[in-house]
Amino acid sequence: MAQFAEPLQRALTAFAHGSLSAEVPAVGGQTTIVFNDHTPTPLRVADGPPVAISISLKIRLDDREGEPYVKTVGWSHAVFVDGVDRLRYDWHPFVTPLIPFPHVHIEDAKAHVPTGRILVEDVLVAALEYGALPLSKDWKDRLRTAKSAFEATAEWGISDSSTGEHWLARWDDDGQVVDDSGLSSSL
Amino acid sequence: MSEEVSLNFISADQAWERFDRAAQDLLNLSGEEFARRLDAGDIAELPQSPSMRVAMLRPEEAA
Repeated sequence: MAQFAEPLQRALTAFAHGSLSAEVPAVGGQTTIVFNDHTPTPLRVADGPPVAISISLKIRLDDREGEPYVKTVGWSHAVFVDGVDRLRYDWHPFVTPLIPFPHVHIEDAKAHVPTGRILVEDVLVAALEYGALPLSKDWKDRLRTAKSAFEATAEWGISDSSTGEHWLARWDDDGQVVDDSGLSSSL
Repeated sequence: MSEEVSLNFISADQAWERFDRAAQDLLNLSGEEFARRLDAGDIAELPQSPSMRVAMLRPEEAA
């Protein structure tokens, strides 16, 4: 559990303070890892409306040939702007079996827009797009480290790292957008 | 609050208290009532926030 959570801690620390909490499940059991009790946690912003995130991961502790393996079986993460969840990334087949796929709710709409696997690092980058700023200049390294740890053991949903790296180049170490010219011309 | 993000392991009782507190604060329901309605398929706005925020906190013992 601690090994699974450590990269999350490192990534979250770059943007927010607080605590991850979870029950320790028995082998075969599930638990929810929750950041700050799943309440919206305010992030730093320079100006503009307040931005916050909420994070929760449902995990199951499996036994892989005598070794514990933490498997993600659901999540519900959100980016709040001005107190409204503008993005909510959900995957909760254990609660809604009729909606078994990962999806995003946009602007609190009821539509379930399918997504791939969403990592906490993805949520933090989405928060950047809404004006959040990192707390530490090494935030990119922290996100890279967290994603590498995930890729080392993940069984599905490993994204194209080079594409993600290209997107991170949009921001400098202070979280300021450095160059949107390419983005503008591509739209 | 810590300057870092800490990892805290909580007991089953603490997990239930967290779930119950969220149900009361966000939905004005007890955790027990929310769990009963969830099992009965009686949470109409379940896919929406804040119901899903509460559902995510439900401890396995209540499943």
